[in-house]
Amino acid sequence: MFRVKVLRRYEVSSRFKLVTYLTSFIVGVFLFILFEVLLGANPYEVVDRLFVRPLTSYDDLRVSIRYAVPIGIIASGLLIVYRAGIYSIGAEGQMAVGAVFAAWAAYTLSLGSPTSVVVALLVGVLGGIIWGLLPATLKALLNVNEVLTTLMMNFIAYSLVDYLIYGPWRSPKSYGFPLTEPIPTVFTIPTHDGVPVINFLVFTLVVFLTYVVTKMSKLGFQIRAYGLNPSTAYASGMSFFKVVLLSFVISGALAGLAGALQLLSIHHRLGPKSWSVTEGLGYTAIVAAWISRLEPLAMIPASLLMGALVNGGLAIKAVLGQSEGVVNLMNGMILLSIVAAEFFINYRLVIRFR
Amino acid sequence: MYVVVNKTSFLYGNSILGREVVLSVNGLSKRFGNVVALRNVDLELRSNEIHVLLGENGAGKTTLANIIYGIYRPDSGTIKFFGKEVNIRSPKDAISYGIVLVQQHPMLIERMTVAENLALGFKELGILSSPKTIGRVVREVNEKYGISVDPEVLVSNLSFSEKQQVELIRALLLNVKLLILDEPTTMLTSYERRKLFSILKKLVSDGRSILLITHKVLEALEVSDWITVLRRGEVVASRPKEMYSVDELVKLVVGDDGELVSSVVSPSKSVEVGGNVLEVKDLIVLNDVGGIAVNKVSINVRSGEIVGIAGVTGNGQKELSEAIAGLRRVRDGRILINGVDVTNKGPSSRFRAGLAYIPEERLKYGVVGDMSVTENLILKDYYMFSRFTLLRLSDAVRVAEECIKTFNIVTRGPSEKVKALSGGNIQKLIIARELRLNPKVVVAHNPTLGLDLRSTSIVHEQLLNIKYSGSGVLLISEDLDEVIKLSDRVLVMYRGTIVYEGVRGCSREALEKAMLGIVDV
Repeated sequence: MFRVKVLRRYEVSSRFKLVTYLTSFIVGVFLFILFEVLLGANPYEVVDRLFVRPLTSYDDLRVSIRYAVPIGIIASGLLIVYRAGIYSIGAEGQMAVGAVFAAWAAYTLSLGSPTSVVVALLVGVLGGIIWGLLPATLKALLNVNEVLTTLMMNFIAYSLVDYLIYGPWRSPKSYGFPLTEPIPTVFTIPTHDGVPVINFLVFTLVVFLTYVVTKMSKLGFQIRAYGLNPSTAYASGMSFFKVVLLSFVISGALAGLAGALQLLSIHHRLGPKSWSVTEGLGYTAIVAAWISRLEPLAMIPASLLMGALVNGGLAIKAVLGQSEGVVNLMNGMILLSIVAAEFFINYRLVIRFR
Repeated sequence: MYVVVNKTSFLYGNSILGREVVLSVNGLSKRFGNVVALRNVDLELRSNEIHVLLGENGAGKTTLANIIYGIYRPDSGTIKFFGKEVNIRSPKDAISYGIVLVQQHPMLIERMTVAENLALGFKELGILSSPKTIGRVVREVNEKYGISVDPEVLVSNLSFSEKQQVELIRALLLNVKLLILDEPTTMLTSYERRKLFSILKKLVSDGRSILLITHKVLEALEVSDWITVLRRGEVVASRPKEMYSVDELVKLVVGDDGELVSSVVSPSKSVEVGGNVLEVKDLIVLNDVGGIAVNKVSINVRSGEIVGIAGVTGNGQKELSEAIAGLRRVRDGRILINGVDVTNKGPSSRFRAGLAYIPEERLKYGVVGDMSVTENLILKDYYMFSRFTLLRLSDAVRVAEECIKTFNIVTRGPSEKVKALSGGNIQKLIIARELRLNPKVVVAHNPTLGLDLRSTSIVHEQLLNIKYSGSGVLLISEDLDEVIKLSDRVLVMYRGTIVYEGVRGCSREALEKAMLGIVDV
């Protein structure tokens, strides 16, 4: 017989924190591999498909970057709300609505070559912001729990896309598939040999801007104060309304931007679940944000890592013939172990044998 | 037969002979980063003894207590308990040895009764676990030690001192052998303090020992059998109480610059009293559970004066100060700051109108513990330190360095996180931030709570400086001496109303009576 005791840690060094987080990430990935092995997969192949190829082979790396860019852009916005102590999980819906808005711009406006892309992106940004405004206002005015409202907004966004692709926007030429027309070519963003170079440049710009906002701006100061001690921040005269609203606006804008970018450069049309523009990346970005420890510059490696894992997960799905849920499963396991790391940072377990 | 005479008993005579050494600490050291919190500390504590650990803020008293209680681990040194070396790794370990620490602020669940609170976490006591049984035991303990706590009453209805007594009862139920009390008297009136001390004396006469932490010299002399003085992490003296004089003790506590303290500020300079800077009219404020905490209170503070509000804790002072600061909604009535109506507006409008606020709950409303000293010092006027909307902290660091010097804030530097500072230094930081903004009126709630002599005198001096500079001060304090010393007018608050108003030099007795609700008509 043995007993496990949970004891509180009173002093934690930053090195210990780092090691714990890295370990927890590895544990999460390991659990996923274990799960794959239980499904009958060869562990070497899983590791190869999941980690090695997506980061080393040129063909796979291109796809990894394709996922990493939207993940990184969205996660940069999430990092700002999370720093404010607001736990929004609405990026997925905001991304979808961003794509819808950008698609609307592409179908209805007729503009010149570079302007059309910029306008469509800005309209997409607007869509993301609008989708975040309802939960933001409810939180700012009535302190309604943002986890519930943002989650609900995601489902509404999915339904909106479904309505459009089955209804008014359904292409007559898609052989009965619920897809929209491809957007006009003036609105497309070119990729270079499959690599969305322009998107990647936008991403680095976003990382730079989030760095400026979080580390150097007045807003970043207020956001940090609210995230660390809301009572003192309020008593110091900082506006709760402003902090909630602006952080939601920023994260909504970036999610909308990511949706628009994916539409204009990769998908070119809206489609149902398995062909959707979002591909669940709005959820994956949550994991990337926490892996970065809410540090803007760490977002580049964090999103590359998550992009590679998504790519690898899809490869495993395809090679081993597994279901859609594989990538979600992996995301969940990694996020869960990172959350668990928080526990091990604050507490230690003592096992006593009798 | 041999009599073993150790060094201490040889030096200090027979008074301690035959009293067993309960706790002995040898060569204890503890560092936090580059700061030495404790250096080679020795301590010996005997049975039936109230042992006072005396020292200023940051002297290492609380660190030492936390090590004995297992919250921190020492870097080096040993702890022996009843002669056996012990390895205390957590509060749970400490409790299993019979060591209990009572924190400065009672840790109780407000919505539960006393008995329910005590029943929590008592699986060790088996049959005692039911609140009913606990109730019976509480009444026994009450009778034995002169405590008066009703086990059936909700904790939220208890005064601070009663909550503290609940903590004492909990310690007794845990079969405490060594009771550690961290600054137990800071929130107590003189009457409540005397009562606490009489309970403590009964506790030690029953064979227990008490380690009492305080920064108050007179209190140490009043209650202790033995005093150990800590200064900057080192033991500078440890003897029976009788072997100290007051002057000597003050010098030991403060160190070389003892003169600083003796220059007590005397509010003799006269200033012109001007117009109202704070007007509170027929204010009604509710408490957290919806009862009326402040009932039709009207207060005027004019520029160039200090208005003191005295009263026993829990008579509406907290709600009054929070309402003025904009942290609590006003049910009825008006608040004007420097002529501007700010009733039910947010804190920022009050701050712009010229209000500075020194909150009682410093960690909750005063600072962001995970931000740096600099960042906390500019928490209200951070936007002044910007260029092209970007923050420029380099200017702020210079301001911070100045504040650290002027207000004598003990810190490793402007970039240190505030949560690493001692309570007194956090308070100095808050005061520095508020006063730096040249306020028209300062509302200070218990501004010297838990501060040492030197910090207290700095705070008092600053409050007087505000007055001399032509601003007004509303001093809400549970320390009657402080109120009397600084105020030009004294109001006494009792059950949510102002029951008495006195001017400078009014009788202390009348104020004390009014605080208990006895007002001569």
